[in-house]
This record gives sequence, C-alpha cells and structure tokens, in this order.
Amino acid sequence: MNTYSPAGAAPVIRLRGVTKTYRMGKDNIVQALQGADLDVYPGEFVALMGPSGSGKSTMMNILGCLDVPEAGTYVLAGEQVRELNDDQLAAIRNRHIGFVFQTFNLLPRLNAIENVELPLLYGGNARGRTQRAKDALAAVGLGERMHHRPSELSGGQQQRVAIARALLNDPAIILADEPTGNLDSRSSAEILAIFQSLNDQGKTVVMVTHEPDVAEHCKRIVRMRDGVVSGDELVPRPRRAEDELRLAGQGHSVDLHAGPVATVPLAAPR
Amino acid sequence: MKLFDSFRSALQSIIVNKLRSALTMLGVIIGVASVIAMVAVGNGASIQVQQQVLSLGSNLVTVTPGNQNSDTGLRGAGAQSVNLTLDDMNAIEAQLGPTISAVEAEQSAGRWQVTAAGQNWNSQVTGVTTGYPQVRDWALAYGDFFTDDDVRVYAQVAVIGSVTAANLFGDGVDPTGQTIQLRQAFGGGGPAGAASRARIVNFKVVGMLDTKGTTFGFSRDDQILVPTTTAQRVLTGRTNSVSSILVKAASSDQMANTTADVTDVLLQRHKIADPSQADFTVTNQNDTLAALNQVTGTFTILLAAIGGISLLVGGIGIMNIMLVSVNERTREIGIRKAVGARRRDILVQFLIEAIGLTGIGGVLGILLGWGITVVVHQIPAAANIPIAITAGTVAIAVGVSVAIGVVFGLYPAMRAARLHPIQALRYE
Repeated sequence: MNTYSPAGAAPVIRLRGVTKTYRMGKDNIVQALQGADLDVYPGEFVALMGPSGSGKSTMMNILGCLDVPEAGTYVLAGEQVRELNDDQLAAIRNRHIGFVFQTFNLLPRLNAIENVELPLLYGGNARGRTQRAKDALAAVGLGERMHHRPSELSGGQQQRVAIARALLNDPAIILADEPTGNLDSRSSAEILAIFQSLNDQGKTVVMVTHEPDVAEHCKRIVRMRDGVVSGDELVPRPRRAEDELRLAGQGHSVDLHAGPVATVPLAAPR
Repeated sequence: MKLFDSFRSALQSIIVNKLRSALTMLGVIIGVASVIAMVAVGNGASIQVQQQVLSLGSNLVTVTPGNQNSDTGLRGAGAQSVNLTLDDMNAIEAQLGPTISAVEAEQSAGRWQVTAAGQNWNSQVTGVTTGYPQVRDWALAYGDFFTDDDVRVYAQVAVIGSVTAANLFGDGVDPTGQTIQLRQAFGGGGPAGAASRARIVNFKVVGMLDTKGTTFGFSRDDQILVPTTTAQRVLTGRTNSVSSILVKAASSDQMANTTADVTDVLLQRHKIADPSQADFTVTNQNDTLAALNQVTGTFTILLAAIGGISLLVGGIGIMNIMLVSVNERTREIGIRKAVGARRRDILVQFLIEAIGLTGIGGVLGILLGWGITVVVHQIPAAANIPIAITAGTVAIAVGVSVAIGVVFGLYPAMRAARLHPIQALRYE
C-alpha cells in the first residue's frame, strides 16, 4: 500500500491489487499488471511514468474502462467496475471519462465538429449538440478550423479536437495516454496548457508520459515498473505551460527542458 | 444512437465508397430486377391466356362426343359417331331454357376454297346455330346473323369473318348481299384431274363478324359460319351429328349447376344410367381456366425462383463486402466504443448500412425490372402480353431486399459489435 492519501477526501479512483495478463500467441503470456495499487483524488493532475512494458498503458485502459482487471478491485467514483456489464462500461466511458490518445484517434471521414459530437450520439443530452461541439472547439482554441477534416489539421490541432471530444459530456476525469508523444515542443506546450487549465477548473487528469519534463507539469508523478507502482512523488511547484508559451511569444523558443523540477517522494519505492 | 444519425452515417459510408457500394448493390439490383421482370412477364402471360380463353366466350359449358374418362369411349376424328345431335341441343334448350343464357351446336365442315368477285381464298367453314353470337359474345359488324328459319331449311347463307371479307372484297367493304362460292376437291390425293371433280356450293353472305384477333396464335377472323344443318346436309354429308354443343351459363356462379343439368339431360336422352359410361364429355370453362392458371402459375414461380437465386447471390455479395468493411473499420469501431458506443449502437450502425445497400439496390432493381418489361414489350412476339407490375410485386421486392440486408448484414454487424475496444483501437 504505497498510495498517497490527502486528509478528508474520498478517492475518485481506487485500484487495489489489480492484475492483467495478455496472451500473445501460444506460449507467450505477458503479465502487464501484477498487483497494482493506486488512489487518485478529485482535482489531482497525475503523471504516470515508466519504461515501456511497465504496464502504464494497461493501467490507463483499465482506468478508462476500456478493459477490465483480471483480479483485484477498481472502484471508480464509488462504483465497483468489475460488477458492470458491457453497456454500463460504455456508459461510463461516455459520461464520466474523457479519453485522449497519443494517436488522436479521430474518425478521418468526419470534420472537426462531427468528431467532437461523437460522444453525444451515444448518450447524454444531444440537444444543441452542434453548438456545444463548436463551443468545445472554441474552448481549446480551434474556433476557425471547425469544418476541416483531421487530414487537413496539424498534429496539435488534431489533438485539440480530441480533447474537445473528450470534454463534450463534461466528464469529471480526463485520461490521456501520451497525448504529446506525437507532437513538437510548441504543440506539446499548448496541449499541456489546456490540461493545466482544465485541472485548474477542477477536473481530475491522469496522463501517461515517458518524458520527465512533460511529467513535471503535473502535480504528482507515479512511477511504474514491472506491472506495479514503484514510486509516487508530489511536485510542489509544477511547471506552467502557459509561462513557457508566453516566453516563446517574446522571442524565445519553447523550452520544455529548462532544468529539473524538485519533487517530494510520497513513499519509498519497493 | 438516434436512428436518424445511424441512417445519415450509413449513407455517408455508402457514398464514400461509391464504386464498391455500386458493385455490391449490382447483385441486389440484378436479383430484384429479374424477379420483377420475370414475375411481370409470368403474370402477363397468365392474364393473356385467361383473356384468350374468355375471348372464345365466357361462362361456357362445352359438350363433345365421346367419353374422355373411359377406355371404351370414342375418341378422335374417326371415332366420331352420331351421338350428339341438334336434337340434343334442342332438348337442352327446351329443358334448361330459363336457367341458361344461350346454347348453340357446331359442326365443323373443314377447310374450303372460297371464290368471290374474282378473288380466291381458303377458309375454315363451321356450321353453327343462331345462339352463336350470344354464346361467343361476338357481335356483327355488318348485316344480321342467319335465323332459325335458315337453320330449318338448310339455307345456303353465310356469316363471314373480317379477315375473310377483307381478302375477298377488300378492307372495310360491307360484304352483305354478295355471293361466295365454296369449292372442295374430293377423292382427295387423287391423280391429276381430281380438281375437276369438285363440289361447288354457292352461299349468300348475310353478315360479317366484328374483328376479334388471334387466339393461341390462330386468327379467329378468318372463318365462314353457315347454318349447322347446311353444314351437315350440304357440306359434309353427315345427316345429324354435331361436333360440339356449347351452353352459356347464366353466370360464372351457375357453371357447376349448368354442367350438372346438361349432363342429366343428355344422360336421360341417351338412356344411360351410369354417368361413367356416358358417350359424351362435358367440359366446364372454369376448370379449363383453373388448369391453365395452374400451368402459368407454375411457370411464374419457376421464373421467380430464378430471380430469387440471383437475389441470394447478391445477398452473399453484401455479406462479403460488409465483412471487409468491418475489418477495414476496426479502428473506427474501437474509437466509437471508446467514446461510449454500446454493442447495440455498433450493431445497428452496420445493419443499417447493409440495409441501406440492399434497400437502394432494391429500388434501383425495381426501376431496372420495369425497364426490362418495357423493352420486352417492344419485342413483336411479346407485344400482346400484358405486362403486369403490381404494387404487390414492388412491395415484395422491397421487403425481400430489406430482409436480405438484415439476414446477410447481421453476421458482419455482430462481429463488429463484439470487437473488444482495446483490440479494435490497436488494430492496424
């Protein structure tokens, strides 16, 4: 049990002893998670770090209800996820969780507005959905290119469309799986600024990354190794992406690599 | 997902893959078109057969000599004996008069050479009685039909068909009052000079029949009608026999009764106790129609089945392309599931896409089928077939194509719905 617990709040996400194995071919069984524990509290901005194969993506999929744990418990906002059926999981993905992917995962045939509207086709209040999609796009700074298809947008713009889509049903939790992994420094800073702003507004954000300087924009860094949580530290003064962008606006290039940020270990690594 | 959104999304996906959608639809289009066209032609043929049978006169009960049900019965031309006579007809008229519409007796006199006004022609000559116009529902264009008196005195008078009249006297000429000469060589097949030993009889034309067209390929307007008695005494030499007695029942409902009544009268007159030993056969036109309808119905079903097979092949094409489509769009399915689509949403989406393909194909197929029937109608041999595309046929065609969309779209749609979101998202 090496999870962080601030006083007086109930965790919005609680994983206990979660395991997951994948069978890749006949004799190749990958133990992606081997008893992971994690608590995430409302309003946190957590970076999930670890080498590839450490199980961080599997953890994200389970957190996002795209996959279910084999053993152990996952309690999301008080609900036991293991007891939910397929349709109930779909409803949670639709209403309570906004998922942002490294590869954006937009539908190529639809324009930005139609992509953003997508969650409303499957639930929630569909009233005035086009206007709401436009508002969401404007909120992520994409007011002008709303009628463009993904192929006509830059990577950063596509990721903003994906974020607008994730926000449309006003979920409490945003899960982002390496959202800046395919982006240049400036776009990365812009995306991080959006996440920080969402977090400022009270949304809980969990983000997988393997870049330390991206992780330093978060309030907490959880490290994984071999399918378990191996480290957990707070970032007392996270970097602010908007500061970096402002500097860039004054003639500096966007620099996400400006010296390490101090962290405070929450518990000793196993 | 709202149904409207599903339809819009399905239509978009059909439009995006224009060529593929069109080729896939082609199977359904051809299938539906062939069903429509073949059923239309089949129904048309059936209607034509019915019309032709009824053009011989409606509600007819026909009596012919010989027993069709018995080995001992008389059959064929050589077996024709004097077992149906004008007296039989008179007895039917006398005893059933109030319950039937009309009756007449006919005696074929064979083909004769006809000469008039220097023109030569060859026509079928038939002896008939005065009930003919009513029994056959056949009015006269010119003149009057011969009378009972003419029949009684073996008058040499004739009513001729419009084709015969046109060939002898010219188109649109009133032939009444003209004389025609019937000529038949006898000692048939004899050596040269036989033609000189010919029977020659003069007839006065008293009327001309309306034009009726052909029945089963034979022109009914090339004939000469003379009194039955004249045919018997003057033309064939048989004294009293007739080749058929035709009774027109009062209505279609009365045909069974009339058939029974006619049989009773004749059995009594011929002093036959056992109906199975009757020396005549009574045929009900309704039975003939039913038998013909059965034949054309079987024909139509056969044609529809051929069309149905092409529909089946078209359906398999739909299934094939939907499976490819599901495979290609695995990532899309993963994305939709990630943002909250339930299994049912994915199922409905792909099902509606399949139904969209077959539905549009069905409508195009109906148009093509209709086009085919129009083209078929241009073929001279088929020009007389009334092509019948009914609302029912169209409804069935649309229903069947939608059903094919459901049946052949269901399996691919279920495969799509069952995909695991993570595996679908990772699919390259």
